[in-house]
Amino acid sequence: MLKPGELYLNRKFDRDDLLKKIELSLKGIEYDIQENFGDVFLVIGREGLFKALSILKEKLDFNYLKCLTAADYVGYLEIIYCIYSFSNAYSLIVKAKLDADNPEVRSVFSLWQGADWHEREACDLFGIKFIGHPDLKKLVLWDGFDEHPLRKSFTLELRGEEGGDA
Amino acid sequence: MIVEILIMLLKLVVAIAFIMLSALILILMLRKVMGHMQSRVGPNRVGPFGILQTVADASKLLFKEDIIPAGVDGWAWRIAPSVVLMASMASFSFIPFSKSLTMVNSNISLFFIFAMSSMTSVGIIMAGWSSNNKYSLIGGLRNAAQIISYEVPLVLSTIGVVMMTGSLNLVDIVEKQKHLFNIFPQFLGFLIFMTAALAELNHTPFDISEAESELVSGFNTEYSAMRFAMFFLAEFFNVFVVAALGAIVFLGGWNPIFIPLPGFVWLIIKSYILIFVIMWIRSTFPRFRADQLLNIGWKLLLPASLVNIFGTGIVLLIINGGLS
Amino acid sequence: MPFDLTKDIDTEIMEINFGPHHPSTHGVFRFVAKLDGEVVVDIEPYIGYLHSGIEKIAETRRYFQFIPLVDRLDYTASLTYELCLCLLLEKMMEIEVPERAQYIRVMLTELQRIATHLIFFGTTGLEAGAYTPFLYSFREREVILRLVEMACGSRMTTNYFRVGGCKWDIPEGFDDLCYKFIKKFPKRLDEYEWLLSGNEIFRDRTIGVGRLDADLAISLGVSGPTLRGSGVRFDIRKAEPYSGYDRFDFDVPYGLNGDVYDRFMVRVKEMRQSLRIIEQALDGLPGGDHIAKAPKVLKPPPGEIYYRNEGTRGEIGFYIVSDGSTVPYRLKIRGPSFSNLMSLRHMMVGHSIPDIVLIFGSIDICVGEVDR
Repeated sequence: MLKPGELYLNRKFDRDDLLKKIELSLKGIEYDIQENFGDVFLVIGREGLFKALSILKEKLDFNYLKCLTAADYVGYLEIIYCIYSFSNAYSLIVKAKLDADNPEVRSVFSLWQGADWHEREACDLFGIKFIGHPDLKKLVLWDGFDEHPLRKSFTLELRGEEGGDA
Repeated sequence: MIVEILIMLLKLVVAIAFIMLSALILILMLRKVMGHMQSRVGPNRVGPFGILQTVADASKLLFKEDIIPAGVDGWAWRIAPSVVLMASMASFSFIPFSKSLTMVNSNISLFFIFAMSSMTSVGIIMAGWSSNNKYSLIGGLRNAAQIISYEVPLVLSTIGVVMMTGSLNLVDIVEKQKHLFNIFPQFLGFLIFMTAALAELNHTPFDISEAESELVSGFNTEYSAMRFAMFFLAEFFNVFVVAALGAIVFLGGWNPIFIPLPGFVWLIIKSYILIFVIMWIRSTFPRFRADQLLNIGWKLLLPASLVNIFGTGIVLLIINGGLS
Repeated sequence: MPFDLTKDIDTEIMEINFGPHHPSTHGVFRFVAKLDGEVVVDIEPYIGYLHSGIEKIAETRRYFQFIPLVDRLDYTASLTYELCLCLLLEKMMEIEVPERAQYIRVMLTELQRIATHLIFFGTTGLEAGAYTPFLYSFREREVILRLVEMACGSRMTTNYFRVGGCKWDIPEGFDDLCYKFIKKFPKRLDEYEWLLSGNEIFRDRTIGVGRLDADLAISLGVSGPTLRGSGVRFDIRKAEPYSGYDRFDFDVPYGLNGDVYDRFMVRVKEMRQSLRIIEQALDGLPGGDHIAKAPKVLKPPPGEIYYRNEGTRGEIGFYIVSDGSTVPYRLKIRGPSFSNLMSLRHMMVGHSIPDIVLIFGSIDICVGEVDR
């Protein structure tokens, strides 16, 4: 990281450097690299996810969690971590597939404190359980509403409302 | 005997009418002055230049429903506004408007006014505690701390004047200022007086007990209609009393400055000048935090007022030619 | 303290609710403060009062239908969200935006940035107890809103940017009014600074209050002026320039202590820097089209992308999963206030009630983008 007061100017993302470093540090964990629109995606299985993320944080200095979200593909859920490294200017998106019926994953609160509310929101809207999160309460939905709106099974028509004309 | 009682009642009626009118004018003056300082106009619809605005507000408050919250503490809650109003009206009654226009001409009028004005804090604490509301409680207790801290410098700042005059009678104090207003020898006392007076009045920058942005409305959150109007009026009576006191003690009271006008007109003009300065300060400064406020009261104003008394004493000793 | 006077006295922790209805919570936000006397021991924020399920609605709306919805997230600076969405779609579909459109976009976004920071300036004064700067800053804001209305057609939720450029070109009379504003604003800002940041009372209340450490801020995901106030001089407009920002010469202000005063000064200085950008954009405004030829029906190629932008309060991010149809499969909006709000707990503990209000105002959240 730059010293306090030093300007972060034109931080170009060095793709090959990142891929090399990932290959070096993530030995022993099965992963897959995809690229899309200029971003690098790291697809990992559920078991190696937390280990991979902690290695990424420690060795490659990914100290900033931009976004933690999920997407519902019918049959499985995919959890998505967008992380960024200030010192190396790397941007990486880590994905993992989760079981649709019982989605559980280890919480990354111990790595990035900013995961706190992101995980609560994902639990609220998708139903993903984060093991190890200090206080997994509802965030945006009201008490007593036990459904998970962002899943594809929850449609607006179900509740008697009209969707848009797509 | 009956004539005396009738004269007393007449004085009472005139005094109450005067202070009510004065409060009406002051409320409008505050809104217009603050409005113009904030580059807006203030009320200008009701009557020409918005003169009848306060009349409209007062009549609205008269007709509002009197809501008594369920958990309030009986009589304390109901009496609190009256206590505050009573204290300000009582302190007003001792202000002389000219040598002959006084309701009460007493030898301890200065002392009595200070004593009665601290009774307002009793009413405010009653209001804060009995409202059964955490915001009001915090507001009431803050006010108690503030009043205690600033009462001492307020009184001590006028002691210098009392030493120069030799009497606590307000008429005497004004009479002694025929040639030189007290503000010039007692400038430090005047500054301390104005600062401590702002704190006594719960005005910005010392209005932590009514801090709108923090505690909704402080101790008068649970009051509505006429009860709230009593708090509101009491605040403006106090403003006038304090400004009139400042004008009498430091600015020469009813002694004219170059232009010969009747005495009480001069007193009113001087009080309104001080009130304008108070409103000017109100629209400019942010407010202090509670602990900073208490720090200023105890660590800055109190030593300054003691220095003032000390200095006045030494000067008087030198002038009067040594200890006799 | 040398000795604790309350050692033998039974004191309780008082819980106060700064409810959704409160003069100083910016919008519909609630937090419960546990107080020991007047000192905060812990706070617990509650959000969700403004949750409208915009991410779910996005799955049934076409991309261009979604632009007005995105306005409503940060309703004081709608154009920053529109810019992010439009830039993301242009990146996915590889559409090149003409230069004139880029300049217009930058100009209007920076105008809205000044407008939002003016609200922050006024409301901070209001929370500190000074009633006057609020009205002065809104007077300045009137000019900005008139400019925005001239270009976009409405003062608030503007719905102006389109994929490929802007909906209309800026009208005549826009640059005259804008030049007048650029000339008057710096001097006025000096005057307003006298009232607040030069005032001894205000400085006493804000210096040293609500410190946020740089490492903790990065771990929490804080961005924008809140992060820059803690020493990390990271601005996406400079670090990963977009929409032609690298053409303009401007500075990124920062603070070193991470307290309320630093965050306040960062935003005040940012207003001046935004003014510089607007002046440069206006001076160098090229001719040309205001919108590129984009297909009427937007069908981005399938794939996923995360794109970010510097909004007024921090990093605005959009994560889109596209399956090749006109409707996104999944759209996630990363609002800066959501992450900034997590730092509240760490900053407020140990301070008293008047400080709470100032600390909360210094993060400058907008509840629309917290709850979405």
